[in-house]
Amino acid sequence: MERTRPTGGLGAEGIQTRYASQDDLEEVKGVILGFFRGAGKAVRGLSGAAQTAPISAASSSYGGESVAADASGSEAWRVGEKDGADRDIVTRTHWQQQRAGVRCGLVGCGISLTPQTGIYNCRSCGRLMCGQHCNRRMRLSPTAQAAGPGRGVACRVCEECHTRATASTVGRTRSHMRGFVHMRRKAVSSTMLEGTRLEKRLEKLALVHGAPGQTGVQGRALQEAEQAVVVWEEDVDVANCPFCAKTFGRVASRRHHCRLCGRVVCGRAGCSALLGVPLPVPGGQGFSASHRADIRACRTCEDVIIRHRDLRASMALVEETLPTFNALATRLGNHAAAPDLPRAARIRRQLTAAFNGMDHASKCIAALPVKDATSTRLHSAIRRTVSQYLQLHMFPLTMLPKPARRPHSLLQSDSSPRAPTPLRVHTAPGTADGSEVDRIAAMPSHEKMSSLDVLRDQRQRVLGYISEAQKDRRLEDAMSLQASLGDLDVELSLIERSL
Amino acid sequence: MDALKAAQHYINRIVTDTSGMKVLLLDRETTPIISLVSTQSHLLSKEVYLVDRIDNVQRDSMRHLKCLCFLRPTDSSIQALVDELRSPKYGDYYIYFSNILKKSMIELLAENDESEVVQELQEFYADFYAPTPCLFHIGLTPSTHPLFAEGHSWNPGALNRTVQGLSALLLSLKKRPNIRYERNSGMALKLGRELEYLVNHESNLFGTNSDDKTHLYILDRKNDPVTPLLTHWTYHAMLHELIGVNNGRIDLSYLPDIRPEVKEVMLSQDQDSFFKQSQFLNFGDLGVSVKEFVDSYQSKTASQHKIESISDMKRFVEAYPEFRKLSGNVTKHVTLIGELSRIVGSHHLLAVSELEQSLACNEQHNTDLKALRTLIADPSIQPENKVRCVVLYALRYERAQSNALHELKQQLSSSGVDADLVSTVDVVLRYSGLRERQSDIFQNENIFSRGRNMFKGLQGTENVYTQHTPALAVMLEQLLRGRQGLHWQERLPNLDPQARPPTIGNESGIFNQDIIVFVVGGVTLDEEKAVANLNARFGSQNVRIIAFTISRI
Repeated sequence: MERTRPTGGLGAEGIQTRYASQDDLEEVKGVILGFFRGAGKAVRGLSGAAQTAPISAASSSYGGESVAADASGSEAWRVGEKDGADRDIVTRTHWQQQRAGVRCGLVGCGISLTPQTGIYNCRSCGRLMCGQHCNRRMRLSPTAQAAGPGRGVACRVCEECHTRATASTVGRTRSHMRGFVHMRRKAVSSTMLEGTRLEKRLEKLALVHGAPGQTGVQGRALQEAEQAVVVWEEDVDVANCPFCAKTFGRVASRRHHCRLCGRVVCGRAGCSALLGVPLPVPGGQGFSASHRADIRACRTCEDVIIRHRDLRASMALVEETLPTFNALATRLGNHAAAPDLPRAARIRRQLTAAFNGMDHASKCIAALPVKDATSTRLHSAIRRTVSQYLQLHMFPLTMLPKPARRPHSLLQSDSSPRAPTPLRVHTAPGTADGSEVDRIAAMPSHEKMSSLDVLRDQRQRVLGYISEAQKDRRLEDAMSLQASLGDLDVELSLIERSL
Repeated sequence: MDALKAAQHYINRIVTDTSGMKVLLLDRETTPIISLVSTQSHLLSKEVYLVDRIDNVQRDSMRHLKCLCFLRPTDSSIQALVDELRSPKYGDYYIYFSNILKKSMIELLAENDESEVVQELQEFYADFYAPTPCLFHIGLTPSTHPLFAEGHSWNPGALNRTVQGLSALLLSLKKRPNIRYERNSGMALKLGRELEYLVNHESNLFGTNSDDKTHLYILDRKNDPVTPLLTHWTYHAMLHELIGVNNGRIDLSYLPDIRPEVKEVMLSQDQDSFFKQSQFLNFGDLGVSVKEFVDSYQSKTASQHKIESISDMKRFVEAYPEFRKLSGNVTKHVTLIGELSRIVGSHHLLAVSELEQSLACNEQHNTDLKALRTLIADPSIQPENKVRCVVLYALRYERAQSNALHELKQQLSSSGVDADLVSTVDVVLRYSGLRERQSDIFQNENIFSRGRNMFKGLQGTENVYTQHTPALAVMLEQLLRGRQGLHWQERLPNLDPQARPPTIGNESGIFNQDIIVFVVGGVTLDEEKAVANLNARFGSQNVRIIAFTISRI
């Protein structure tokens, strides 16, 4: 990328020497602009330079500034000739300037840039790179951002920009939902029609059976009335049940007629069933809820009727608990670390409360009475998720800054051991030296209480770990855990004593 | 920008696009695809509380759950889904298919969704298995999908599945490549034609080819039969060959007195940093690295024991879960490596491998023959290993005047090797003998390559067990460096003769060059290692291997 004076610049200079002595600045401006238009250059910087040129000519410093303003354009021009069509469109204002001893900008490369390695500006981020790390091509918009397919100009970009741009676009997908909904609407409307038709027949059948108490038609007459609603299939035409393919007999497996579609089916539970139909209220309109007549329907018709009524049962209990659980989870996620200690302490308290609430909710879910194996699996999965979440997020909680006024508590092991005071009973080495006892004695009582709570909490957790480790026969782990349990006990007893 | 990431991206979108409590239904083929790229805890963290198979009829109804289905568009899966939609067990259905759906399938589903429970129907093209970033396969095994129908032609089922898998891969990477195939392989040509037809047929879906400089090389295993016959010494490859890795799982339950927690172990680059570091180490270096691993674990254990203050203890409680994970990982790798070294010792693999490498790399007929004879006579060597050496001998000295293959076969039979195994020698010769190959893999066919080979021999070798370089690695390196362009253009012609001539290499100033390699007949993990090395060296050009199936011939 050598800095050769551009043809445009040369031309401007020529014009300048010819017109510098003349007074008609407007004419100069017109000629210069015309020249640049003729040269076919649309670089904004250049036309700007041409426009400012006449004014600087008036203050008799015309030439130098014009050429200086052209310099950036000149580079664009040269490189553009060499390196593709992006010169006119994509901005270059963010480019890193070339200096001696500059290194490749890619993290992890950093070799000195020489003509041998190649020296390129990434058109997207502007950093200077070696040839190996700046040899991707990507479409860029005029602001040097990644452009969509079919737009922008193909430019040379670096490895990082290319990965960043392509990573988000990986994975083609195609949705069929629109076509699916269209097809479904057609299918559903035909079933709706079928459903309403069957409902109508059912109503007619209910009327045939008559109101409760009032003896409706019986025997032969009933059958004829039913056949008036829908035409029955002839018995002789059907030798096997259409669902289970069982051959009909005279006694053992008898033929039944579906009262809704008139087909012949067998009486087995999977093939046909007795639908309970609400009977009409005597004398009035509508149907009673308590009195029902049993009407035989085949499997298909039964399905249609049931679906048409759509009786949905819901598991209310889990659904009740879940929103609070989710709300807690989102609330936990929203808390950012706060710099000031009092706020941190407050947040810590809130978080602990939220964690406890979440733990409680999940335990409730896990303890819900269950009807089947899947619910058990579901509940245990929820419990597992919560304990994973808690494990992940509870530990950083202990890292949160504690309320002020006892900053030395974390540095206690560094302070020099003093002569043991009478308070010291336990002889665990290095754990409960004098300074610690002093520290505990110096604490105000409410602080003691709170640290007692924390320690008890930790003790409980360590106990859990120990039993887990022993169950898994990890004896070394259990041993070190036991040691830490002892430490905790010492600390606990110290605090309790001082209270 | 690799297959693993693409698959993970799809799975992530499936589980995060819908909020609330979810159940995930999979079918026979999507279950291993998901389990390779995702974990149960990841699914749980995205509120997927149940995972079940769609063909499981014993599922209980839970109308308060949303249902995500990720299925392959096969007839059995569609039928199972139709049954499910007829009597829906869950509230809403979000259905994702792993490949291109036929119109008739959509119609069938629409007709049966009478209760209007389907909220979403999409194609998410994660229809391939991605065990590592630069290797993936289509999941075909010889038992379920035999590769050959008759002679050297495709079995239609395997061809169909391969085309589907490859097209899904291209879609997931958003690539529309220039296809090149090995000239002497009818199967590679056939596969290329089928794929090209599909790409042109679904032209809208695959997008335009303007900026794309991706090449798809379809190679045939028969041109390099040697690599899969050798014993490999890298960690991952050894686990695969000697113990057996099935979709990232290793079953160790056959070992006596195995501890229950390592009965079945998982290998995953994402979660296991030790495995990620050492998967390409050879067996010797592996010993060193596992020792360091154990040492670091021990020093950590020691520091855990040294708890002297409350702050130490706090640190301990915080670090404890991490520590427990580490301890499980140490147990796993120590068990695996112990088992590997037991197998290596009891099968005398070092001796076998030395002979194999000598057969693969050096032209010394008489010494090789003598060594081979002693090997066959040794009763402690596994029959499979004897046969492998004889196959290598047969391939190398196929044209040698003093070829003693016949006697060797007789000796094999008399030393108690099964007749079926002995006959594989002829099968391999028929499959990829000298007439079938187009490359000079042994470098003994003309005077120039003999000279080059001799020169290489003079330089000496670093490690007798890893002298051989896979032909694929040699080929890719030459192509990437832009060497012997004409030679390769002849060997690997473009499928579409009108396509621009293949431009390869750095000096032609190419951008965005991705190479996807598909090997009909499978690749070895040794070749994966070679490609991973190439990827590291030629940072900007991504090479990817796709395997038909990872196995030996």
